[in-house]
Amino acid sequence: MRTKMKISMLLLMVILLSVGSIAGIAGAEQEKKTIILGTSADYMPYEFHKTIDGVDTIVGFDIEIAKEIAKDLGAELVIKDTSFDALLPELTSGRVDFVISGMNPTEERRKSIDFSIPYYRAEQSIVVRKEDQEKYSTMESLEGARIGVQKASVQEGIAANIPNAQVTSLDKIPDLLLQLDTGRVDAVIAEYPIANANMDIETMAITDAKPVSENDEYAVGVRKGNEELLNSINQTLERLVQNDLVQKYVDEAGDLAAGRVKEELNTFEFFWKYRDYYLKGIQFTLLISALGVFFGFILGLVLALMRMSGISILKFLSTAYIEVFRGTPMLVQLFIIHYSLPAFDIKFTPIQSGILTLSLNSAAYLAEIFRAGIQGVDRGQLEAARSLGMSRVAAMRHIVLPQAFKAVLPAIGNEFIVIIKESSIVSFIGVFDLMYQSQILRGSTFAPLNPLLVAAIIYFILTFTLSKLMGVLERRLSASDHR
Amino acid sequence: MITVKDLHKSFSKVEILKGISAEIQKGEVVVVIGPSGSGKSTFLRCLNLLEQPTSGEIMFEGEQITAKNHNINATREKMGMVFQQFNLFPHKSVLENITLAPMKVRGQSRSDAEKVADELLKTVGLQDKRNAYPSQLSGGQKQRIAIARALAMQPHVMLFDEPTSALDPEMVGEVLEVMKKLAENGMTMVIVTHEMGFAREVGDRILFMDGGRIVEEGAPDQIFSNPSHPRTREFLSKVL
Repeated sequence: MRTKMKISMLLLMVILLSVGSIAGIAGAEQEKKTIILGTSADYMPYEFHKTIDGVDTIVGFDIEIAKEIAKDLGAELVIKDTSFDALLPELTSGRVDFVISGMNPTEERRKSIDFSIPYYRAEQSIVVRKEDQEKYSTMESLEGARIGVQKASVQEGIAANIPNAQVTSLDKIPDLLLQLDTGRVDAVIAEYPIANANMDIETMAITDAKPVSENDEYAVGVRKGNEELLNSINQTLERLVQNDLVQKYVDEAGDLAAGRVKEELNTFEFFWKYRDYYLKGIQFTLLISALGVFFGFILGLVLALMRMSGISILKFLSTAYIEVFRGTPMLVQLFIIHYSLPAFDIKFTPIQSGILTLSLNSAAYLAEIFRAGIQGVDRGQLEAARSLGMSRVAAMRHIVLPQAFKAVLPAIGNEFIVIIKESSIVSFIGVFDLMYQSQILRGSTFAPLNPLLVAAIIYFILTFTLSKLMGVLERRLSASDHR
Repeated sequence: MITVKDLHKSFSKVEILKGISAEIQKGEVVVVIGPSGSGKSTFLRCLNLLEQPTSGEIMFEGEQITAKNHNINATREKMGMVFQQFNLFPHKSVLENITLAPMKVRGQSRSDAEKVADELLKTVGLQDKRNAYPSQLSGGQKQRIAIARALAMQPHVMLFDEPTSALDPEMVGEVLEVMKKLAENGMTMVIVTHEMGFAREVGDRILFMDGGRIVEEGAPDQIFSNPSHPRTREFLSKVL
């Protein structure tokens, strides 16, 4: 009886927590007179994270421009930080109002969004290891070299025009510089201010080679057909360019970025210094995992019972559901739920999308686990219960399910552990979970290993604790087997 | 009390019961014997609809339980069943095994249900196993608990499906002893068994089944000493 009370208390807490968090987030997004900027804040000095007076802040000259745009509109600026790849879907699905993120107005992008007039034109540069500075002093010398560039960037186009070059495309500049440092690429093509702000001047240098590109202007992106906003943005940009304010912002951002010193911290010191990031990440990871598991558990049980109900339409629906959700990648499901459903006016916050995806996905796996458990219970158990006058439901609830649950507990524990780890994919849509926090720290501290190592250790502690807890539960439930 | 009319049962085209008609009176102990595969267990399991008959009808206390809209759960409360494999609930203690149905189905209070359970445990001689779990019991003890569990619902009739067939020989006696006590107290019983001595001693009437039919029925003395049908004679000559 007491354990039952405890479990129902726990369930109640989980439900209250989930309702609270979802309502809280929905409430926060409904404030009036705001304009939402989408940006990928890992691109120094355009936009990046910096701890200012102990508070994690997104800064950079793109951000300064966005502030001016918001000021001219008389609106409050809200910054939404997502991965660069997610910016276009964020904009087209209406989650952000405009995008400034060092984005080039390429023809391909113009197909899905509109661009303002260009506000900045950057100079390209080649970064190499210091000892190779002379070797790669011209563009021609790069022929056949291994070259690193940012994925889907202008530099990728430049690299493609270098004969026989082996091109490596990665998401983040720090990763590229790490590749250069460890000798996996020979040169990295990046914009001059970015290269200057990010590279380690002890070991790297910018060569005299001058890459040229036709499309190295930057512009503000808005949703197609949003003329009113576009006109206002263009007016602001014209004012800024005329008053030379853009160049001023670039210089200021460069100073901000240059203030960064490379820290020599061991893993523990690193964790301690940035513990606030990780603690916040743990909260989000635990929240979405717990709710994902909770709803997945309920839905999985319903699916398993539907599949075994003997009613063919229910059986078909359940089987189809399980096959589809087991047979497609969770990341694809997440993107469909978060970016494609808004086309039908169904808009979830990132946290809601994350919880929904984890629930729907784990339900498919848990349903099969439950089915195996139920089928594993001896038929005589159901017959004995029914012969005593119990209804099918009562027999399931008191006799079959408790035994089935006990038998599949190890498999359920396994699935819970998978969910905690897989929850890291929600960082793609901008949930501030553990993975997201470690990505921010990688971008802002340029420590190559520590941010991920700390995240890995925390994930391990979470899953290891869970597996121990499941072990305790297992031993308790099996008390009746051998005493 | 129970009237069976022309009962047929097929499992995917194999006909196991080929027209059974029988009558069981209140207070009567009816023992069903016959070779393996003759349909004895299937017949017994049809009586509380653990098997759905293919055709025919079964009346219980004036109600037709084979009717479409009949509430079988209510009928099963009045028909206790004991299985060859005991089918105790392994995740519940002996006491919980006995009190579960009275509490969940009948809505009895815990204290009432436990009072009844303690009485029954005394009847089957296992008071000291009250808080044990099934895995700690011997086969004979398990079956006695299973009988107590069925009796806790205060059934009007008890169905026994080969209750001693899964037991080690030295444990058969203790179970038969409990069943004998029940019969002496006037419980209506239908028993499928291979224990011929017990059938003869306790049974009021013997049904001999073969090939899905009741071949012969009568008082134990008549069946065992002077069987009229050649198949009955042949069967008894093998098992006695």
